[in-house]
Amino acid sequence: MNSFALLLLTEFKFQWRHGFVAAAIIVTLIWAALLSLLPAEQRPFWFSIVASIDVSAIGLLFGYGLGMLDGSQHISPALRLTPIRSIWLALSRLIALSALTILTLSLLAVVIMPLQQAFALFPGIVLCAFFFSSVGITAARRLASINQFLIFFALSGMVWAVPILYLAGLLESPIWVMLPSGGATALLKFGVENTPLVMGVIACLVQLLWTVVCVYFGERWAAVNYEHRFGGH
Amino acid sequence: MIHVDQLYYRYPGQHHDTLKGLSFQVAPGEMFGFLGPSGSGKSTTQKLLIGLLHGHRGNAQLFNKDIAQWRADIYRRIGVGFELPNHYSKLTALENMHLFASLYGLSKSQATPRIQQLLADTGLSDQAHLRTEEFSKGMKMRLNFARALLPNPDLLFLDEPTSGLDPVNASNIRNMIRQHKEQGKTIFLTTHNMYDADELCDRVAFMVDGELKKIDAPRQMKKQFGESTVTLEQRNDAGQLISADFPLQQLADNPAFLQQLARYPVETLHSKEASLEDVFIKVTGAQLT
Ligand SMILES: Nc1ncnc2c1ncn2[C@@H]1O[C@H](COP(=O)(O)OP(=O)(O)OP(=O)(O)O)[C@@H](O)[C@H]1O
Ligand SMILES: [Mg+2]
Repeated sequence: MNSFALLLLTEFKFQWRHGFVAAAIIVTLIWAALLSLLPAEQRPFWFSIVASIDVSAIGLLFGYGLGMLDGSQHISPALRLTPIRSIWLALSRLIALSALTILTLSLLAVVIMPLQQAFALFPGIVLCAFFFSSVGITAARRLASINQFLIFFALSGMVWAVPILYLAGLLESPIWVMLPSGGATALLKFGVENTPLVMGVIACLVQLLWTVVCVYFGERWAAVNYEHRFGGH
Repeated sequence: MIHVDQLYYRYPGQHHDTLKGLSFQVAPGEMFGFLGPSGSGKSTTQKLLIGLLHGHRGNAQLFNKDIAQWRADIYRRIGVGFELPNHYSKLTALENMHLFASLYGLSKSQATPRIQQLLADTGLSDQAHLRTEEFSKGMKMRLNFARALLPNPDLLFLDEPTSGLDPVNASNIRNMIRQHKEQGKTIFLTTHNMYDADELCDRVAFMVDGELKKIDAPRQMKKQFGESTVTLEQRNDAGQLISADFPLQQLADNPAFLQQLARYPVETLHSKEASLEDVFIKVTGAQLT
């Protein structure tokens, strides 16, 4: 097994054994129970709302929590003294955490609605998961204390909320797609409605761009905030 | 192997230098001890040399190349045993070791026998499948040590490798350090354990308050600064035990000793070698702990 695959496996074990998987499953079961009370034709819409909130909460909180656990176990200096570049560490965590949310939400979708409808929501779920995981992981690198994180969590909530209002139909203008989480949230909306493909493509590209920006800044900040090592990070 | 010349370091936000112009060299295959009281800057020096701190002044080279020019590939050639345990607490010892082996670029077929050997040598074979959160401090330190040896490094940095260990395990670790040196590898040992330094090191450097006071072989230092003594214990007429120290040199011609010897029956008579600790105190004027 190459080192990235082993890192990824380690990330999965890390999440599993620290109880992150169990927490995600419990939350998903609760949503499944609530959503199944709704009439079938309303479920995709409410699922999209639930998904957008659920992914943002899991991505931010879990991403940050994993970073804190690293810190408390003092693993980072040991990892820094190996030849592996820190971008691979960040990517392994990003993939593992996103996979957790994608898996649980896809399962939820498949359980409460017909396969075809669930499938239409899949791109939104995936992009949402990657974006919010990257924000949580980046926040852990940038915000050293829990106080800072809580303030960030509360204040940034406004930015994440606006696209959800658009998704819920309370805001009309598609301009909100341009916000950091706008693309993925819009994709969830488009998955429920019948939207021209071109809008979906734009939303996709915008969201990918924001995700890359976030990962990039995460790496930049890691280089500044984390302690040094030879050859940079 | 290590060349350090006029090395200064100040932690960000501090008003004084923690390292104040260190100069020393470590030859290939040498075991070099860094000795000094707590807070003297030993770990700081090690952290600079392994790249965990930056912003030094002066010159420092590893493998004949300025440390500022090294890239991450140097970490295949140096092993580092940290002062404090740092492992994934929810992973087993074996899982921890396999992850790091892979990060160092060892293939599975290279890693497996090496890990087994290292765990056996550090006495952790039976606990290989335990999560490290269940380890005692000494077990974690032994795993630190095993991990530092994983890449079979040409240059090994060890920060207090025997701290928190019982005598048997400490002696095991010392043996492993010796074996590693016998393969021609270079070892930089940071410690305030005089016994380790005396036992293991070809040369030791005395560090006090960010400055190197003396660098030499332990034997040489003891010869130069240490004074071997003889302790005479006797029982006096009142039945009390009295004891007195005399220099070992020219003992037979020491009238004070001969006079005392004749006064009362001898209970015990011991000669005592000067310890490195005595030398340290004499040379630096500082206590070790
Ligand atoms: N991150 C830091 N920021 C500011 N000062 C520091 C930092 N780390 C260490 N120091 C200071 O630098 C000095 C040297 O510390 P260092 O850890 O190198 O000592 P040491 O010789 O390894 O001691 P010990 O034997 O206790 O491990 C101490 O006075 C310490 O307070
Ligand atoms: Mg120290």
